[in-house]
Amino acid sequence: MTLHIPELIKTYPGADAFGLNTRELRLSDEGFTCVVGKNGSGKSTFGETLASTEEQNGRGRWYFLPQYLERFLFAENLVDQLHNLLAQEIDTELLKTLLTDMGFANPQDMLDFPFLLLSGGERRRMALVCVLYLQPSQLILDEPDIGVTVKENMVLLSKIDNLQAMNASIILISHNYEFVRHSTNLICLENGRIGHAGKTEDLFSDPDFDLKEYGVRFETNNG
Amino acid sequence: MGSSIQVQNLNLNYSWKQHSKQIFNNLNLRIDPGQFVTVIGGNGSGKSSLIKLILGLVSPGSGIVSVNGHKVRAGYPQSVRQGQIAYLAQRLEDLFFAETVFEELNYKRGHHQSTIDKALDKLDLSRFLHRSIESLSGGERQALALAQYMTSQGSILLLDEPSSYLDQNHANILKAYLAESHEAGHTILHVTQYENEIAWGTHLIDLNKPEPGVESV
Repeated sequence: MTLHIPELIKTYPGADAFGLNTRELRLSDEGFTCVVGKNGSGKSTFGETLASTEEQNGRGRWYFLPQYLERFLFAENLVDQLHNLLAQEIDTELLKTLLTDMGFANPQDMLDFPFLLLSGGERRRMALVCVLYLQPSQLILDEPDIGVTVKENMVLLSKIDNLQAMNASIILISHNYEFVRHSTNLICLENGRIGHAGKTEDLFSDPDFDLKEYGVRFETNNG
Repeated sequence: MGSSIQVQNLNLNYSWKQHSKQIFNNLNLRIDPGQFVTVIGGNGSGKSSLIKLILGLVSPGSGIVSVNGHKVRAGYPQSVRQGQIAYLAQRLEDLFFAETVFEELNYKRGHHQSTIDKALDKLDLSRFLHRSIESLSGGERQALALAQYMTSQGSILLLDEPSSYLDQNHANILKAYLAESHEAGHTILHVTQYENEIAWGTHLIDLNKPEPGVESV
């Protein structure tokens, strides 16, 4: 199957207006696609603009998890959030499994634990639990590893594999080398344009390709 | 130049409705002047809370926090207002007040104009002067916050995950700035999620431990 990403154009107003203008892409839809680029290259704008398109690749609309979670986690707690989003009975056993997988020690307590009392990293993991529960068929995650440990990032990667096995398309925006090296495709942005794009293993084999030019960080988070 | 920070028999609990969460139980720490301390710990271990206790933004259940021997009065962040402590917050939403980058810098520029212009050039942000803050990405906001922070004068530098959105180049600039500040004798408390950043400092507080202390690196 092919992942089709249409041409994306977005301009922010102002004297020094930033412009995103990326060409159309057709990539293999195996595994997941990682989007990299230095600060200001347009990664988040790319994700937001793609999420707003009608391109469904035969699967449904894109679901976008942003960097800033304040508007995403709008309810009092996880069960409230899902009730609002789905208006149907919640599978609490599945939720508890996902909470455990994402490193929460007391999953039963976390079902109605207030978001207000969570740390920054806990909120990001809670947002990931919410997204994984929803099982979207097209998903864009914008820097999901901020404040999340190496162990939980590995769990996230395995959950991404599970979603992909259910025929979902996944795009992950990140500076994290662990995500880059596990990806099937890479889209590398530079000043709002695509610098390199294609299969990750092909780009890694290209002697003219240097990940460092795209701001990728090679350190690890706390484990 | 640097100042000392002390935490004695500190207990901290957050609660709301029927839910509560214990953060610290009888925490004792002493950070000596000029130490460069990295703070690590899992989510919810209290990294940001420790910073906020030192600033007086959060009130402990019991125990004392002191800066240079003076007790911190919770609810009165005088240390920041008086310029003794420079604080770089974790949440990007808390960092800016103005609508555009230019307005934000003019608000804080004052007599630091040449210093902040130099920091902007170093971080390659001068081209963003007329952009709206809202249009900046997370990494751009954090880099802008760092540029402003690099003009700080406090003897104590508190930074809460200052590099989480930064690319490698900007992270290198942060590292160099902290190294220079340490050389100049500032006391530094640096919260981070990146293990490799432990080596930037001289001491470590690991809040994952049941009885965290200040350990040499």
